[in-house]
Amino acid sequence: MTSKEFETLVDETSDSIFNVVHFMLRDDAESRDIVQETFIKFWENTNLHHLENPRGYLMKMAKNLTIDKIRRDKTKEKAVKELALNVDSQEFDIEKGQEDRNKMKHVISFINTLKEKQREVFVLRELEGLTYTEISNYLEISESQVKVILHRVRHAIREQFSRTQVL
Amino acid sequence: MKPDIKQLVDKFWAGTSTLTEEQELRHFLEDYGFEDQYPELYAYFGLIENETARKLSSAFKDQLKSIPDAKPKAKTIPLDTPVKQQSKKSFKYWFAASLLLTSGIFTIQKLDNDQKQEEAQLAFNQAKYSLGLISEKMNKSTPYIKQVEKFAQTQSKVKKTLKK
Repeated sequence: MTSKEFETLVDETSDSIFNVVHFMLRDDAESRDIVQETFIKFWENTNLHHLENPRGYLMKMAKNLTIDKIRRDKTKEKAVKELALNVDSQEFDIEKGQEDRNKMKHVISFINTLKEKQREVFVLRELEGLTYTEISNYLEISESQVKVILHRVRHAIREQFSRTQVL
Repeated sequence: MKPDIKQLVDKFWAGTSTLTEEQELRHFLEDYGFEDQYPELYAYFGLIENETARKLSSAFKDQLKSIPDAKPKAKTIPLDTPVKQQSKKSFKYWFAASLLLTSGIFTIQKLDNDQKQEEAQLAFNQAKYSLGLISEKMNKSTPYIKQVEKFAQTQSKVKKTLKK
């Protein structure tokens, strides 16, 4: 891989990697650190430069680094508690006031407490925009399982929106 | 043609809509506004939009792009490197070297012992020669000693006779 090809890869993937990491960490600076670490590791390991799907690999690497970081920093429970406190007040540009923003934070906290597989499907579909086939290959489960999980996750989030009356 | 919104919404919550259908639904809600009719869907799309809208600054992206300059590529070890063969070869060299060293030590020790033995033999021979020489001289002088003894006896006899 040449420097030019690496630059193109950065342009094409860095924003979406940042969004996925940020969704898990809820912190701008830490998310940027993870993105940087991901690209450094990718560049240093020349065996990865010939991969057919470097985007998928980068995403996986970033998620693993994020999970490692969460484990290092604190227990998952503690991380989820902090999640609600750390959300930047400017994140939600919905213009419905502080109350609605807090309720949105509550929904995001809820998503982060979902089972790992459910959260993975949510992130892959809604944040990364992958097809059912791609998600099925990535998670090594059938397409029908992906659809069932997505259905449950969407309903659970819908339920949270109804309960918190963000609407 | 106006899409069947109700059907699209149902497919979305059922988790069976395609990415194109979801995109279509999103655009339709944005264009015509169905906030009152589908409030949960509206909030759901708002959440997704928020979570995917973040952009890294161009300065940070430039920093990422400069990684190849700051971190030169590590030396690549080809995956087909015959590691086992190499280790066998080096093992042979090590074995030969240690064998050579061991035999060298034994040879030096043996040479040392032989040398000491030779020296001892030489000293023994020299001592033997010296003793032999003394013995030979002694043998030669024995008759003279007897003559001296006889002379001494005769001398004392003469002295005694003279005293009388």
